Amino acid sequence: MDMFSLLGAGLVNVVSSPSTLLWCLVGVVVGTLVSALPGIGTVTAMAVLLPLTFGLEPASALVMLVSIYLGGMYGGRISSILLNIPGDSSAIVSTFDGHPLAKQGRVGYALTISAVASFVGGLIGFVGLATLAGILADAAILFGPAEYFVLIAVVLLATAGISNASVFKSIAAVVMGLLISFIGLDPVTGTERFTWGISELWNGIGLVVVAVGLFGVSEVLMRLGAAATSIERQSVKLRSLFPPVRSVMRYTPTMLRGGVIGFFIGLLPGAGAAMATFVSYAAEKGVARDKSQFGKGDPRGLCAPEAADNASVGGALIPTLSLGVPGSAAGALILGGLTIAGLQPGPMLFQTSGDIVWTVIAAVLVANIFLLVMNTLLVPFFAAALHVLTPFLTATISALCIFGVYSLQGSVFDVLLMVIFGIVGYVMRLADYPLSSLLLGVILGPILETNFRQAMLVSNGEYSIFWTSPITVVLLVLGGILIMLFVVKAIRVIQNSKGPTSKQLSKQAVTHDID
Amino acid sequence: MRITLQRSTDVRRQGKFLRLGFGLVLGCWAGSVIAFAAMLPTSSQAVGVGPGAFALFFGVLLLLMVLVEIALTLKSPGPAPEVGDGQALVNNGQLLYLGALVATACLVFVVGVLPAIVALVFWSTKVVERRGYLFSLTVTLVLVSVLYLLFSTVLKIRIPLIFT
Repeated sequence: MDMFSLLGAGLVNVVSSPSTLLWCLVGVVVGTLVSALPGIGTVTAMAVLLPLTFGLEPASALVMLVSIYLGGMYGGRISSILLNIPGDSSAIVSTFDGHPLAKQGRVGYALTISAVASFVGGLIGFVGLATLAGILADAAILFGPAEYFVLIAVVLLATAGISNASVFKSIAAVVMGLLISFIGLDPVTGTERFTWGISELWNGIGLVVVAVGLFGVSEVLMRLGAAATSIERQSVKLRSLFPPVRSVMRYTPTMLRGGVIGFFIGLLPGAGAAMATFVSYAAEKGVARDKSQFGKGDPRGLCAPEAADNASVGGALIPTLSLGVPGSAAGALILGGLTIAGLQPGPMLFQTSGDIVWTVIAAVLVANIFLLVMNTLLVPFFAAALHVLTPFLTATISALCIFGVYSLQGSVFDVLLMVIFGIVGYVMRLADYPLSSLLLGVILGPILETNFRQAMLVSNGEYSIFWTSPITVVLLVLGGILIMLFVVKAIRVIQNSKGPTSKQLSKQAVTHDID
Repeated sequence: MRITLQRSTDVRRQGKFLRLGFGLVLGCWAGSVIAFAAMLPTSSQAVGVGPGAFALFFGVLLLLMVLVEIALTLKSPGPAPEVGDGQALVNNGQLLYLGALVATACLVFVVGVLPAIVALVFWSTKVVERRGYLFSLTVTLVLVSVLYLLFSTVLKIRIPLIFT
């Protein structure tokens, strides 16, 4: 069957199933709300709600997770524009020109033009995903265990390298995740590894427990430490929420440029939506003839990053669905959702569960349509929700985390583990260690080891299997380039550590890294 | 991505201690992983590498990274000891919530998940967020009931009312 027939069938599956449509709607609402609330990220929402997918049908579960992901990209701009506080790391750039537009009295205009830009970016991501996902899945059949091992090693290197944390902390976080993934019984020999005689650890530590603890529980702790924000209500007139057609036509090239940049950056492991927004902003400013209004309310400075972050979702879903190798925390959680749903991630996913995969891809289009309507006509609702929901967040997230983790296996030991990871995640955030890298290590660790062992079996113990095929050679070259980048970054970190004297540090600016 | 904040000197000093402390804990963990992995077979006739190989390699890598980070943290100059503004890295709300989390983790083994969640939600609302008794009780009852119904009825997941 060709791509259009498969996509059409997927679209019919979404539209004709009330439960799938309902969970798509739930996902976009939750994603938008959570991302609109300053300090709570999309990944946190996905992590906290991941256990809910346990009781849903596979298609509905995955559609919900992807819809939360997409909703998160739309929602972050709301508090960026209204409050000058990014709702998510991918919405930081939207504050540069979004809030100045709001201060000029053009709140409705800023919200709607950014919603349209998000939609255009989402469409670009959808087209790219629908076009390339199947092709990459077919090509991935050529990947044997050696190719997979080298690919995953490169993905982990890229995740550690692209993160803005110190290179040593990034590598340490990835390795921590890998070591956590080795806890349990060795799948080949049955030997206990790092279980300390605790039988509950024989099956290892589940991704969901780690994710909910790291992102959910630690998020609550971070929120309690953030300065209280007085949220001023900005009134938004309904008349100003209809997309201004002339502006949409005028800024379409900006939206298309941002969308294409965002899609390709989303493909890169470890890059993420936040990087896509910064690159697209810089690129738009670079091609603009008149740059004087950037940072002062230029609509191009809002349209480009909004299109980019939504398009990056499509890009990020490709390696996750086609190869079973996520390049981001959100991708790792979607992979977790696939596993909970009983589906086997990897290139065979398109063969064994193609109907579900194409339903999820089609749901990206449906979710984008829901989001365009919600984020234009229903924005006053979301703005009001910022006021109403904030007092209940700590209690709600806490309860959801414990209910969710307990629901996996009915194990109170999982609740204890979640609390431990919550505290670890909080300390890691304070110490500037990237959490996403740890999560990727947890999910990719077993795949890395298994593929290495399988490759050694196939080659009868010959290590040359890792550099004989063209695919492994290309990947090894990429890996070599990444290692050289590490060395350069490491040298810079060591040189910069000889910083200013203590007297010069009385009130110094300090950079924070946001996952 | 990076955002630049002005941090108080006390917070930065405490942050430095935190990074050192976390580095030491990670270093001890890496050491224990190396020691344990060294006792496991690192090679296997069946699959080339034994259960200890990867763990040993990554344990050593983690220890190296942590040692470098500790060295860099010790080397980086901190604010002068006499400069400070009384701010703390961790505030009272966070400490209260942290204590509640630890208590919840212990309570689940004694009274079960549902009573532990009730206690945590009430504590979070009353003590941490500093709301009134009536508000806290109402939020606790409504929130826990809604979520219990969601999980047990919609998602069909059994959650016992007390520990059995």
